[in-house]
Amino acid sequence: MSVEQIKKELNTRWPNDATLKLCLQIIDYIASLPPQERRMLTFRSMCRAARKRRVDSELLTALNVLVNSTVAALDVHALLVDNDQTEHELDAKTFAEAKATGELIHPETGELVPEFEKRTVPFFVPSERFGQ
Amino acid sequence: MKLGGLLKGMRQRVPWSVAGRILKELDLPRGQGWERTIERLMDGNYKKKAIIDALEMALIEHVIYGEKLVRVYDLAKGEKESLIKDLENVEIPKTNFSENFPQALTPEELATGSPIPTLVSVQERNDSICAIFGSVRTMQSREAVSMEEMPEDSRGIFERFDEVVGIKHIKYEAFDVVLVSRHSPRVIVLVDYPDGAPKENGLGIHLVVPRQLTEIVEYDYFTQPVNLFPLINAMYKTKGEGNVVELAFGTTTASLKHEKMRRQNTCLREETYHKGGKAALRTQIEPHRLSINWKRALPSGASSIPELSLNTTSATAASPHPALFEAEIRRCMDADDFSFVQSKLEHFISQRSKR
Repeated sequence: MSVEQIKKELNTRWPNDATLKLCLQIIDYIASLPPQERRMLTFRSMCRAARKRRVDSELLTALNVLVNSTVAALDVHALLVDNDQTEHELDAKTFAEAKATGELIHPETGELVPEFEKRTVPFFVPSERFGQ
Repeated sequence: MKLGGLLKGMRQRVPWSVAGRILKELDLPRGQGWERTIERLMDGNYKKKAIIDALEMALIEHVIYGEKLVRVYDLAKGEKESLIKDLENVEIPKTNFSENFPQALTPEELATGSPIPTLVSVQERNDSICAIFGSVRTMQSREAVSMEEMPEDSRGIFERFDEVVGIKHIKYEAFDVVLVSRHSPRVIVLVDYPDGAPKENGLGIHLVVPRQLTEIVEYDYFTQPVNLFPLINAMYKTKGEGNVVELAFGTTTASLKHEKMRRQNTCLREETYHKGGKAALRTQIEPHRLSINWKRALPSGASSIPELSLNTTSATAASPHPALFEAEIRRCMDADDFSFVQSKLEHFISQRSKR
């Protein structure tokens, strides 16, 4: 899968949709970055990609399409922040499972993390489909 | 030894990321987190002697080598042989620690256990002889307290706070080790250093353990620990020596940087921003914190990732005679992992001596 194919899929599935323009803008922005600089794209990075000052419902909808639709261009990873500010990176599978089950197991202690939503910060990484 | 006791011992001290790898190598099932993993193992057909023996070996190796704050001491000529002989002939006193070893103490035993490191076992591993000391230590844990958990009449006191945090003092059984390798001219002291334990406690114990052994063998083998500070820069500058996953340094532009990048197979030495920043300077950066990990292949095809950290402050780095006597060695699965990291330390110590 390449960037061009992802864009083609977006065009086919959401033609004339307002979200499409934003999705393509985000894809182009990420594709313009060298691979080393695509490893941790925060909501702020996405605002820059979408040329927006702040996260709004339009941007959230576009991100939802890029993450959760069959296009699956982006994976959502997260940082888990401990009380002592130690950060642990959660991969896409772990974070998705935690969201689906409502339970997150701490990667180092192996114990349940209470109220993990308050202690995790999501970020985006291009998926395998995105390619290099 | 029983399966339940072994798993409890592992849960208390082995980081989950390491425990998962140990279970995988032993071909044992792993659930989501400790709770479910222990349930699966206890309910399944995993009480055979071979499994118990393998888990006991894994626990003992973690007791000796897992999550440690380490000091290295040079030995004078002939002292290594004499220390090995002393350790081979030492008598283990009968205590709760030695009788339970390597199983965890009960909560009652923990409550009354001695904080002074007491010799519990002497073990031979990977051509090393290890004297293991047990003691009870305390660690603080901070937990948010919800208003609902508080008695109604006391809630008023906390009304003006958005969040209330409670502090728990958690007692745990710690194991510290004096290790002499037959292949090294040095002796190493390994103090238990679980995640979250204050470094000051570890430093205090580093003073006590050598004293305890000196008292037992009636000879002081411990002079000044080796200064590991020069290793920070030497290891950072050796390209290909593991992956640098954390680095803090000062620059002559009067800035202090602290970089972390723990994603697998990435190295800060090669990271774009790091390289760009360095390239913009005419002077060298001055590192004072360094963590390096190495990916080591395991028989199952998975890998272990032991990590070495040499951490001090920018103030120490700027002083005329910077010194650092401790290394943190974490995420070791077994004796092999530790020996590997030890060999790296010793290699760079020897390089320093040659200069």
